[in-house]
Amino acid sequence: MPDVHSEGTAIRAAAPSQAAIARRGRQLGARRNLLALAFLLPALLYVLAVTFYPAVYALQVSFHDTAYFTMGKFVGLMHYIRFLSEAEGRNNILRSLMYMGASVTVALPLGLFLAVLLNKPIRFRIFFRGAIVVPWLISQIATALLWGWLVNPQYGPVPYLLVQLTGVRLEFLGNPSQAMATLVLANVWRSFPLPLLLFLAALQAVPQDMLDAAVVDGATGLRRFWYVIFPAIRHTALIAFILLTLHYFNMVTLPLVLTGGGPVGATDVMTLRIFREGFTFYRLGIASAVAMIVFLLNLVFSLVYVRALRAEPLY
Amino acid sequence: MKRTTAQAYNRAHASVAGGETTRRRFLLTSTWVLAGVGAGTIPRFAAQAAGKAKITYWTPLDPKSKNLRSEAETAMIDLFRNRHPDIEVEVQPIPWQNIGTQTIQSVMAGRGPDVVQFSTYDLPIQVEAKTTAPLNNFMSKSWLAANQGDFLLPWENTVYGGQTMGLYWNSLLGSSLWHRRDLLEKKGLKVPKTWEEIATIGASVQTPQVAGYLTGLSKSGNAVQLTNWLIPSMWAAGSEFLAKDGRAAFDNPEGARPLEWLADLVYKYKVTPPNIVSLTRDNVLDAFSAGTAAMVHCSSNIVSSARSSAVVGKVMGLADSPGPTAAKPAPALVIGKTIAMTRVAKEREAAWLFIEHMTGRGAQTINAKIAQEPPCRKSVLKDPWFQTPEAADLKVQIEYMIRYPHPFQYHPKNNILADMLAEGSQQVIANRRPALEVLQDVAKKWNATIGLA
Repeated sequence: MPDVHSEGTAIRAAAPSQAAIARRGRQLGARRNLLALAFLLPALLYVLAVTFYPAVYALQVSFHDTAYFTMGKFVGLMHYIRFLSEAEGRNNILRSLMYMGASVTVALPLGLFLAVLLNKPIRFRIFFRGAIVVPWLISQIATALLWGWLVNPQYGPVPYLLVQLTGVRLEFLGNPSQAMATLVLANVWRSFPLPLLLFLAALQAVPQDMLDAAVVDGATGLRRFWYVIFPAIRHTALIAFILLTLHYFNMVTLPLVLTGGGPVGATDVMTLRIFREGFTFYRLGIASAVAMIVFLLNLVFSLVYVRALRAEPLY
Repeated sequence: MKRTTAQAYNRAHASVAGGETTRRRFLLTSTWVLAGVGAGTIPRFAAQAAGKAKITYWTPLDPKSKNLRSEAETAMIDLFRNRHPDIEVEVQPIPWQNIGTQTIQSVMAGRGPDVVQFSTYDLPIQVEAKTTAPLNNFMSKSWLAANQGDFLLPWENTVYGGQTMGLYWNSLLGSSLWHRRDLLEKKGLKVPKTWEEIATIGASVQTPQVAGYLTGLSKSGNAVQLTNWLIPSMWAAGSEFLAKDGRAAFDNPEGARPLEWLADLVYKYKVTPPNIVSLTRDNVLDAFSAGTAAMVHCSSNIVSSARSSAVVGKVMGLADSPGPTAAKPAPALVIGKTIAMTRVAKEREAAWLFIEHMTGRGAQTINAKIAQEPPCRKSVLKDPWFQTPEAADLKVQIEYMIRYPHPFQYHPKNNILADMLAEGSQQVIANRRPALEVLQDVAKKWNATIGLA
């Protein structure tokens, strides 16, 4: 008869100890981590080269005087102080916040409103859903050229029709206060499909039984939206808000081509100032300093958003 | 048998794992990739192998565009190709607003074109940025003796530190008065000769769809629409633009008169809309070509664009730019685009031959005949064609340039000054700030910018 006890002892003696198992586990884990790092390394190096290195270099340039694209002597915080102390610099910051704020204020509710409409079982819904996204496919340059032509006071159709139909003559890009509104309008026209698509996807995930229950309880359309639908899509709204604010704050092409920052600096946002200082005046030092300020503001926005997202419970 | 079985096994295994197929696919793919890379470099190698030099030429005129200026330059380049079959020219169009910046960026990166056609204000910037190569070594004493005096514009304008850094590609009249002959004749009016007459005639001919006078104060394109008119107007009013050391010389009552007149056109005579604060040169050209402006100031290099308009082409007239009094018109702002070799040019001999050709009599005659561009050379004007009715536009402009010349060399930081002047002019019109106050602010900022505060 086999000696089970002895065999068990032998087996137990041959089996590795808990410590050995743990050590082996750590070794395997480390090997897996190394393998993962090896696979990630090329992409990581690429990201570092394309984003991190230029940012660090721009920071370095911002502390130096420059002549065309050559770095000169160290000037410390001179460019930063100059930008923030001049009226023009403060105007740039104000215009950026105005542009971002006004665009988000219009684009977000518009996207939500149209998403609610497109979520209903209307005829030709598929066609409308496709057609309404078309502006998003148009580049910023094409949008700027198109709107520049549309509202041109000398030969554009919009001012002409406005005068013919209402007798009102608007200057659009030729008036400082109207220029920002026109720029915001062009921007919203191009970018509202983004929040629309996000909201549309979120609306389709709203539980139907909750909506049915609300109907049974006698809730009107508005109440159903406010107490059932909106809480369900609140998280999406926050994400759309974050994406749009960062997108608008960093936008340069549309303002550059449509208004050039004018008239009289009415649409002179920070990104335009960076472009002008760097590529028209060849003053890379101050351009880099303004770029760093934009970067810092983006960082602040992002931190606020991350905290808001963390605090926001998923429905 | 065993080997067959083994081979069959390997094939099956490989086809399951994708081994053999992947290897073949990899070889095929890499062959195609290499072929593609080779295709990109083959023309240069082929050209070099065939003993051809290859040069890259950056120009704002797209050879594929269907306009007279592009056609003219294409004909000029084709003539060069016929004369120099051993030199291949690759033409790359770059928008005129960006050609200066892109040249600096590319040359600084060690790569760039061999030859560039620069806008009127670009050469001093390029020289300061050290992107251009001197041409002195290519110009023998006999060449200079035969050619130096033949240029319409001052030779020394393209000489920096004793080195010629470019040649004029054309002569350009910065500003003349374009007008609608039909609208003036309908009212029995003559072409205005003074600023006051522009205002009164503009008021007579304007309609709700047609502005009496139009211009543009946008910063875009180095604010050329503004500065091409403002600089000679300041001279006409009795002020200089810049002193010899670059300091602002326009911050005086005479210098302010042109902007005061412009503000009067908008608010007193109401012949010019206030939205000129946002108009660019291209907007003004388009408006005139569309028939929505009765009078504009524009430059000679775009006359052919307006002439090709179906609306105004046949009824457009050109005249000297009026001054404050009828005694004489405003001085002619005589400038020119330049053609230069970059310091990264590989085939310098070929690049020089190209520059010499494009500024030579043959090419300049082609440019004048097709694009109606005033030539850079005096000898070209002796061609009998310039006495024909076809050359009427050129004759008006060239005579203006010759009778009332005021050649001008841009400051290397002109782009900054133009931006300040555009912003200031917009304030005069949009915010109704006094012109003298605005110009004094601009002068202070400008002098500080160039270290002469």
